[in-house]
Amino acid sequence: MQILKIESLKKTYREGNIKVEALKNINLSIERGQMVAIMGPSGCGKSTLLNLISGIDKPTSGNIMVENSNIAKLDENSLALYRRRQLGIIYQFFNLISNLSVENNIKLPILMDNKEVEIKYFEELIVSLGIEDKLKTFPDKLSGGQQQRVAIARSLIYKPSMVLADEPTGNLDKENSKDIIELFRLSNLKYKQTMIIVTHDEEVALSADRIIRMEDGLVINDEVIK
Amino acid sequence: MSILKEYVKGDIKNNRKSYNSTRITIFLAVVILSTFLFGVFSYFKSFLDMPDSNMGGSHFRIISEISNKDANNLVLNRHIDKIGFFNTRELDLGFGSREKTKILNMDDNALSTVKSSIKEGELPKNGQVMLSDNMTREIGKEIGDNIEIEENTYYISGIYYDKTPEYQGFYQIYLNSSQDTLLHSKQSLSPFIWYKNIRKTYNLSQEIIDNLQTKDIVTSYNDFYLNRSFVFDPDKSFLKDYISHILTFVLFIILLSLFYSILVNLFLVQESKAIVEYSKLKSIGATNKDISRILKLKVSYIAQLPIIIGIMTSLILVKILFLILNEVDKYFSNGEDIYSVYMHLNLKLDFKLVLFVYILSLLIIYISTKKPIKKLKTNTIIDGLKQDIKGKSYRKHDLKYKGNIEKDLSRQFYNNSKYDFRFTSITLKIGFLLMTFIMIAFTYYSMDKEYNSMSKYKTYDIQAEYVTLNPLNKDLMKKIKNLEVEDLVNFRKESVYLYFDKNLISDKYKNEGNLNNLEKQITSFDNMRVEIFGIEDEKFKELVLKEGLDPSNYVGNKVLLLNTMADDFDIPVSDMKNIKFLKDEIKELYFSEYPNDKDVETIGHEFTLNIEDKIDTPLFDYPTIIGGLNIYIPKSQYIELFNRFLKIADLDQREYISIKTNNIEEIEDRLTNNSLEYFKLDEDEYWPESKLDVEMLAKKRNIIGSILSVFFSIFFLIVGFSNCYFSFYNLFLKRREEFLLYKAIGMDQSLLENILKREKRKILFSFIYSLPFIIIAVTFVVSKVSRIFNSIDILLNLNTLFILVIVGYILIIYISISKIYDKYRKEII
Repeated sequence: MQILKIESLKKTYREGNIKVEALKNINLSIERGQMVAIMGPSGCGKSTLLNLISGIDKPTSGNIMVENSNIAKLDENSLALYRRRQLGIIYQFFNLISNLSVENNIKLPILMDNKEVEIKYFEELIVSLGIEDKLKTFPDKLSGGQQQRVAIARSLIYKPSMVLADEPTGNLDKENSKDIIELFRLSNLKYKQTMIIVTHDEEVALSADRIIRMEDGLVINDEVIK
Repeated sequence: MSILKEYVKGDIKNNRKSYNSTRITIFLAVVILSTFLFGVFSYFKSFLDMPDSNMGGSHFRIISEISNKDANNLVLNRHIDKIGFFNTRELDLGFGSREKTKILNMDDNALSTVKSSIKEGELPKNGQVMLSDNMTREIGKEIGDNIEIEENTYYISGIYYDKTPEYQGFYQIYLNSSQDTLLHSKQSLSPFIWYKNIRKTYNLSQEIIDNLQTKDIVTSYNDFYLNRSFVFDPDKSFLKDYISHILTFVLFIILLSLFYSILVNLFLVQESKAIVEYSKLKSIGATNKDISRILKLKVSYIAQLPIIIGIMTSLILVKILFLILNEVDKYFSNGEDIYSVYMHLNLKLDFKLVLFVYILSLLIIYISTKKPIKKLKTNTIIDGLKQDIKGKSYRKHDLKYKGNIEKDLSRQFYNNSKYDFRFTSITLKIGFLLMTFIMIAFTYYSMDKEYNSMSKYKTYDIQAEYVTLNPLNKDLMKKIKNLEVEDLVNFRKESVYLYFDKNLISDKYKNEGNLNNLEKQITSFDNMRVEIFGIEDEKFKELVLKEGLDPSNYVGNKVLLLNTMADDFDIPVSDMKNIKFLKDEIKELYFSEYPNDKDVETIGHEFTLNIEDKIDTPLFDYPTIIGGLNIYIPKSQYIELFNRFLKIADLDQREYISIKTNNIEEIEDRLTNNSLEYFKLDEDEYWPESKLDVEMLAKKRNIIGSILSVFFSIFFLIVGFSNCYFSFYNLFLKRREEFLLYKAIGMDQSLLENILKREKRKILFSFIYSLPFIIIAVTFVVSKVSRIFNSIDILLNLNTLFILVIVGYILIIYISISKIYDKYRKEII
């Protein structure tokens, strides 16, 4: 069952009179519960694709259907709510809110909706991520690996149907990278979440169910890993 | 939303230093705005508290008496909040030196209108009376005594300052009668009215006038009180009659916009710094509404304390300013102000105003967040995460290489940031313009005193006025003459009106084209004023002989005419040229007591004077009227002439003495002692004034003007500094990345430093160049509005304080720009 369907997606940037085509007619569909890695050289358009799927950037043309809703047509407010409730996003540089404690950073998407956090799930999450003793700490006192774990916890707190990760291990050492990928896989299996991971790392990519390779704004290869 | 509150609290806690500077800026902006508002409000209110000016804060009165039925109807008027009634009864009963008595039957409300004239004690309660100070002195009564009037005994509750001239022949007694008694007495009554809504005073009063059964009534609005309460007469020209209110309002609006602009720049800087955090929030699902809420929450947390402290500080500032002004006033007025109505400036604490200032400050602060919020909304998450702030897209200026990379790059940088510079520059110039306006206004004021008023003290050092119907006592005159004075002139004077015909005017005056100027000055030739001086006979003789004329000719209606008139009335008095006015052959002039005006029922007594001689310089050195004629006659003739007038009490019954002496202080004291000893007049009926008093007054005005100028200048210096600093800081944040990039590609330290130095110099000089134009423009406008002084006159009279203020303003701008360019050096170079 498809969770994401991308049709004829194009993204063009303009710098004065110069036109840069970051994405040239992308067509793609991803099944619910799949763990997908997107790979490719720098500037191939993979981060742009992720930005478009997360709704923080607007496509020039084409459709991005997420659970039957075309997010390319949503307004700013609906996109914010989509990111808050349906998506979990993990960035290379973690993007934690420096003025909030670890606990509040994790709970933030639910609290923004004025909802109660499910304590059991929250505890399960922090224990599984190994950050239960860091809840009152502020992000600047954490190591890179710990920050990424907090970012993952935040991305999963709303039990989103889809998690997007942009180079999640790009700023981590090998040990931490391995742990993070294992956590992704665990979450993917346990909560049937769809994971889309943009990465340069072959090892990370190989842990996915499917690898999409991009070059020059186009999907050049789409392979399923057994 | 509690998580947003958490976020905001965390942000404020973690960035304490940055938010403290935000708090200080908000505090300064609030101080400026609220000091202005409290100052103006208290100033207007202090006017209302001046003795004789507030009339109990009543809004409207019917001076003539209305029928009792009308009075009873007025009580039922639902628009009236409070009404007071009184009537006057004249008794053939004398007290002390006065042969008659006037009883003013007043209820409590009507009595409240004379509260300011109480000297001792309190207003009378029902059945009690209040007497004048002169009367109690003469009949030996005091507060707490009883007085018998027409077989009734009344308790004396208070004593008031008697302002009636002694020649009026009666004392006034205020008697408290209850309103019910007055309304049931069937007597006609005169009402004082206080409306529920002061703003409707003029409309409601007109309605009352229209509905009265009593006809031919005389009414009066408490103009002074209404003006100061911002209630304006709809029949008056707003621009002409309420110019001070308009200027105050314009100043207020400009201050508001400067307040706004400081805060916008401040929040732009603050929020630009936080753009990454906001973008992170947005990336995980925060809506624009959430961001806007965060900003508003943040503002409400950080603004409360500075607003409250700002309001309190401004109250203290106004208190200190008023204290200084009052002390200066007191010091230079020798404890009493005899030249103008004494006003004691006092801070008026009004809860409603404090609340208004609080809400207004909060409102402007909230409005000031709109621009940063819009900016945060439009900035994309991707740009925000990279701390890239996208501004409006303007036409970009590419580098035009002309052989000097420093010069060419700095020009390109300057051109690309022109829009931001322009905005800052406009706010700075508005601040400077306001400051200039205030300085020029003070300069104008002192020039007006110096060049546009006729000094009474060129020859004579002391002038004394006596309110009296009769010529000064011979013994007193003898005593005054024995005071070892160098010269003395004693005279009376009175204004009357000339039957005018343009054919009377000399060809010289007409040919020089001055007629239009004169007509504009006096409005209509029908009402040309003539001042008649009645100089003591002996002195008149002496002065006339000096002119080579025969004093024995001035008998009957024969008079000496000062036959000159100013040529131009739109120039300072000191520059006016006096030109022969009436034709030589004019020998007879016709006069009336009152002007020939359609609003005046009678022109009073009419008479003819024969012009025996004409002179072209004043007979003695005393200010003559401008735009009118002046006539001299011996005092004995003068008394005879004015004795024929029927309504003599309407005339200005005064005696004048002009004294020339080297020993001003001592002679003034002795003159005062002699005058009071001989006439036993109270202080209101004898007004001495000397050259020294006037010099002190001028000094006082200069000092007060300087204090106010400095006070306002400090305001504008702070506004200028804050505005400049934050707008350049904002620009710095926008351009930081660009500079770092230049550095990354190999631009060396000295090149960067030189580019910035050039840019800084360019900004500063473009501001300095504009200053002379602003000064000239303001001077030009003031000179055009005033018509009296031209721009050059004003510019040449600018005082050194103004020069210091300009230097200070430039310095403060230089410092604020330098501080930002230091930041460039520290953070980039």
